[in-house]
Amino acid sequence: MVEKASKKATFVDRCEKERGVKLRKMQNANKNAVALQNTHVKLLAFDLLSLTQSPSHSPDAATSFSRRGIPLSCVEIVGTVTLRHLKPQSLLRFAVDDGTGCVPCVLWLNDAASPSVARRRRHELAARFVEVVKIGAVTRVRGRLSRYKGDVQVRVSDVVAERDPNAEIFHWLDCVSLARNCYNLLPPPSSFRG
Amino acid sequence: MDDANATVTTLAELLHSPRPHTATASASSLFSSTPPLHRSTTHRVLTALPRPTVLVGTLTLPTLPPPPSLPCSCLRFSDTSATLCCDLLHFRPAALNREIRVTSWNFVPFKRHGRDVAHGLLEIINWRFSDPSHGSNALESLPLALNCGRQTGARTRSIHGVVESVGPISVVPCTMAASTSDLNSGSKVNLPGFLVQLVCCECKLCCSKEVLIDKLSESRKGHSFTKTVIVYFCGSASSWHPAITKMIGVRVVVSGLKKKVVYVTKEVSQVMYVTVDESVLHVGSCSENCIPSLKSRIKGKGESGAYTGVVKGVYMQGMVLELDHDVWLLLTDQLHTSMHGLRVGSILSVRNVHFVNPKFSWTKIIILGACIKTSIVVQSFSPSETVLVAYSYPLQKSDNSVQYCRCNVVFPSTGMLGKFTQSLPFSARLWVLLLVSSFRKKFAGVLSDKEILGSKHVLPERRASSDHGALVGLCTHDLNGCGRVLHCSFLKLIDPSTRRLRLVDATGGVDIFIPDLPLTWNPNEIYEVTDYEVLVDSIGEPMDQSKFLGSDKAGSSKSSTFVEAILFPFILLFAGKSRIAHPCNASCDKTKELLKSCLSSNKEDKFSNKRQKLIKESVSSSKDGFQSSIYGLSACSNSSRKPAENKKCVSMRSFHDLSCLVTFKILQNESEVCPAILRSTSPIKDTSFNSKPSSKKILLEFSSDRFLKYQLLQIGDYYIIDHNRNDCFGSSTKDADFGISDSAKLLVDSGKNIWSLSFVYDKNLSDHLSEYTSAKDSLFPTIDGVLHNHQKLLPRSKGEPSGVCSDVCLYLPISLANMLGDNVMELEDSQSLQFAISEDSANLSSCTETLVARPKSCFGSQRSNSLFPEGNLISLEGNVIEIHEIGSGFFNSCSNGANIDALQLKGLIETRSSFCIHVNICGSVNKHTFPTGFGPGVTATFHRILNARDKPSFLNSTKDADNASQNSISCLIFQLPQSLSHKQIVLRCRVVAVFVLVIERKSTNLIAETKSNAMGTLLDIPLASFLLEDGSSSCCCWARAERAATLLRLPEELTTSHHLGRILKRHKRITVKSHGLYIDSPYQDHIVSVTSGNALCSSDENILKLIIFNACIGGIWNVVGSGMDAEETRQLEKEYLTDILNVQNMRNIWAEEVSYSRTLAEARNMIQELLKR
Repeated sequence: MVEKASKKATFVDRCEKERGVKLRKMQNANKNAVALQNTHVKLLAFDLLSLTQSPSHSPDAATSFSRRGIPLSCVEIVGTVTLRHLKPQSLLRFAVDDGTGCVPCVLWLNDAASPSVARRRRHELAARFVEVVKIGAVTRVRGRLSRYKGDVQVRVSDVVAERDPNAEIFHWLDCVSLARNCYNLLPPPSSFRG
Repeated sequence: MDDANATVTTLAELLHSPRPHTATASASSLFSSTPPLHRSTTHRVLTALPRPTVLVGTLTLPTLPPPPSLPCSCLRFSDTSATLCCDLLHFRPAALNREIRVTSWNFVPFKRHGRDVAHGLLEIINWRFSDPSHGSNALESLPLALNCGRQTGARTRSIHGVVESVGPISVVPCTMAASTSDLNSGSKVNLPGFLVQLVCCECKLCCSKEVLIDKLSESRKGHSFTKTVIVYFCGSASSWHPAITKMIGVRVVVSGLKKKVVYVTKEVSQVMYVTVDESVLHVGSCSENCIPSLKSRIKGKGESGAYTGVVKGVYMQGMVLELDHDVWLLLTDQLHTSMHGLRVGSILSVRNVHFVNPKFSWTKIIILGACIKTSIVVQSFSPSETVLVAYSYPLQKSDNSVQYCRCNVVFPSTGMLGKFTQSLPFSARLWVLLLVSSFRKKFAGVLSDKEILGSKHVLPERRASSDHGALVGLCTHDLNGCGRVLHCSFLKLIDPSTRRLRLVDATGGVDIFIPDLPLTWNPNEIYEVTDYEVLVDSIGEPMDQSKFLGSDKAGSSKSSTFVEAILFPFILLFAGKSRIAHPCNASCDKTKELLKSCLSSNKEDKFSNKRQKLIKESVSSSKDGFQSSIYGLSACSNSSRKPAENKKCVSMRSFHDLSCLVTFKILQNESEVCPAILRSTSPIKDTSFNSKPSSKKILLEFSSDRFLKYQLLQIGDYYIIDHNRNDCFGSSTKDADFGISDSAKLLVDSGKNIWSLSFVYDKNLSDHLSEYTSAKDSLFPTIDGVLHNHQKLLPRSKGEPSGVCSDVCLYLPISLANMLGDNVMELEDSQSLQFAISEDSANLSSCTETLVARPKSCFGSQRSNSLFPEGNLISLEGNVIEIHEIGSGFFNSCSNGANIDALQLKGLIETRSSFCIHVNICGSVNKHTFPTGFGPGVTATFHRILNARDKPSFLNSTKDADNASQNSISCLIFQLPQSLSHKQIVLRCRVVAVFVLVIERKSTNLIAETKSNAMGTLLDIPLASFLLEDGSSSCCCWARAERAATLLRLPEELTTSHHLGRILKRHKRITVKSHGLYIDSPYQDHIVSVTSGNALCSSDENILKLIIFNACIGGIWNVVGSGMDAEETRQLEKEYLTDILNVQNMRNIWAEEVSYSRTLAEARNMIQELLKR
């Protein structure tokens, strides 16, 4: 598993800034589409794993994901942690199984020695999430869609342990309901392509 | 003779075919004296013998064999063939031991009976003497003893009186002989006997020592029967019991009695007349009815009287008899003499029975409570074939033949339950009997009667004790208030809306929760309760608490109760003589002692004499504790000094004194006014270099005799306590008592008074004060001189602050309100402890009062950020999720570690509905003090936990969301129109980012009620802006006050508010703005600015950022929001948001309510929605 972590992170940072600018443009362009791209979309694993990637074979993280032609960038999933692989000072790789599939997730932990104060702080906060991710724990994971070795992967921004036993089922229903009442209803954007 | 033709039958013949029947000497006389038939329609009428029949035999007294085989004490009828228990109407003592012809009778056979008597009861309706010359004497003299000596000794007495009551037969074990005839035997004898109360005449004639037999032939009008005399029929005279019982109300002369002092217990003695061998009973032939008819005088308050009625039903082994209609005779007294013939349909005359009107609201009944004095006489036998009470019982199948005879005294007479039953008031006894009866039915065949009735645990020596009880009982009957009435007032409905009833006594309380009790219930009606829960507060808390609070000093007795309080360094000094001329009661002695001790330590002998004198003068009689308390307060602070002295002292000491008026609530709701000085004992700020003003935490220990005071304490209220230098916190500032533990304990016992205190601010008070002062200076006030004027002067402010009902009320000028408020706030903030000092008070007053308080009404707003949380005690049930130390949480790194454990509880609160909310229960409770097995996963109920947040707590917010969701529509964010109408919408969403957060220290406006009171703490959130999203889209949500606090999850992190409060104290107002927006990340850059001008230290900044971070990783909220217009949004954005953010194109809502999502309920709704399609 070779990842150019630090390099990637700086890149991600830049992307984020660009996106922030992009965001405002998008708001004017296509509200529906932006609304989803701007939102942590709640998807079941099977749905998430079958998102369209474009360009389909690009090696870097600039891949964009779409569902029914509607671009997505952030997702929220709820499920049981079934795999956990911690590389200290580097990353935590884990998988979240929600019963319909298993979503690979990555939590970056490589900013401990960053010269940026803000980054170090982020690292401190991210380190707290490591404690939450335990095998068998039901977690709510939010993050950004990314690609690793050609497959979709969630770059985790936050993890919350779900204590409510009804949370998982509620999430399923939420996903079904949102898909029915929102995601499937939005018309695919006609003109928007960056 | 009308019975000349009748057949004479023998008892043996009757017993030969034991069937119940009635017979008469002539057909015409049948039923002549039996009650009319319609009295009992449900029972078969006794079959009459086909031919006229008479019985000829002798009526005798029962022979009482030695116990324990004590048979019934019925009269006996015997002919040559057999002997039967009998009862007869128209009893005359002359008939005893004479042959009589029974011309009309009922025979009711027993299935089984005791050894010497055959099986049956003969009820003699009509009889006459076989020899007509018998019974014609005007006077009958009957020897009481079997072998009567007939020697009227000089030392014996005669009494002339009316039989008032007859006690039950009891047996006293004694070493003496049973009678004088066998004095030499010296063996241990169980002496049977019974007590008879007579009302005797005290006239000179009757008091003379001559035999009074002649008096009987005189009219009773010549005598006045007033003096109660007890005659003890003992030994063989005890067989007279059934006869004497029938003679209640009859005038008799008993001669040959011995007057003795009988010790019924070691302490209780009673002068009695005791029958001896030569005692003779004299009865006149003409029977005068002396029993007053009490029916018309029944009040139902336990008074004793006589009642005559028809037996309608016999229940519970004959312990409950229904008479007439709605009159219930309770024969539960264990010593009550058993008797046959209590059959359904018979007419009973019950004498000396207690009339109790239980005042049940659903029905009107009268309870006749039989006690030791009660006698029952059958007036008319039942014509129906009802069995005797003794036979209706399953218990009677036991082998104990004695039980058969003691028909109606079967059950718990000797068991613990019986004891208990008899300790109850009559109306409660009825309920206990019903309950026992229900238990017997329920557990029949499962548990033995003994187990049910508790007779397994019979009291030792029950025989003796009960028999002594008979003697003691009659002697002390009236003293003990036998017929007392039950008061049910201690059962109280706490709150109809919660369906809780509470039973409270001094040991604790029991809450009964009845879920299906209608809210409209009427306490005067009866409801069937099918489901209920009993919540019992644990008893024995004092021990736990003392352990818990670490005050393990030897002094704390078991019955002490502890209260934590903040001590404010104020002393209330009375500038002049008290306006209140308070007398003093017993507690004054203690006050005096206190005073003495203060004075001796003051070394001011001059004054001490004076003061002591003053107290002595004041000592007079008063029963009112409170008045004396006030006295203690005022007398202690008495000083004959002039104000100038005060001032001098003040300036020397650099203390600030506040002039004020004090009122004391006294009994008649009048207020006594007194000028006083409220002295702050903490140094003025600028003069203090090294010491901060501070409050001190103290522990008040309430001794058991002050339990009432303890109960009346309210968390959050102010109290004032008089104290002296000997009190732990009164000796010096650096006193040793505080030293290590950093807390002090003050014992509040009977010698120490505590009053509720309130503050009233008034604009015009300074005028009143000056007027008062001038008046005082010119003229030393007399006791009541100035008082009335100042009552008029004193403003009864329009708002009537709540404190008016306090014991002590301080009226302060409004200009002082802010100053005091700041002072107190500082005290609260600085949680180090300092306290009222009285070392200086030596100059002024030997005894000072210290304010012990919790901030509430006094300085306007409610603050929980002080030492003690405030709120209501609640009970909480739920599943424990986890137990963790708060210090190990998110704030561990930046807080200096409040080392308390917290429980995280997911529970159902108050309601039976099925949604979950998370509750944090915090406390300085060690994990190890929880019960064994307590841990994550258990369902636990917590009692007496403090709901620390008054209004906006997230405990309450559940309810709010419930209500709100009914009036508003639930929708997804992407469905929101750009401009919302005024309709409220409910969003189920998460916080993704915090755009703006403004936190400030709450205004200390004392008068204005701060509605925007975030979490009841010192901090206020005037504005906050959140980015919310629900998976469909995101929106900008503006919120303030507790909504903002909830979205920030401040209530979940108790330490957070604390830290915020600390930061705000320095910086007053903090604004946090988002610098940039990364939509997918909680790690946002924020700019923090403060108004104080001081730089925010990095740790404080970290705390603020942590708060925001914490808000962004929270759970799902239900946010009830309303729309905002574009202009409003634009202005807010302009004012608060950085350039980089542009929310105008976003949807903006204003949060009205925020609550946790009710996952389960909403999931159910959602699945219903999904299934519809």
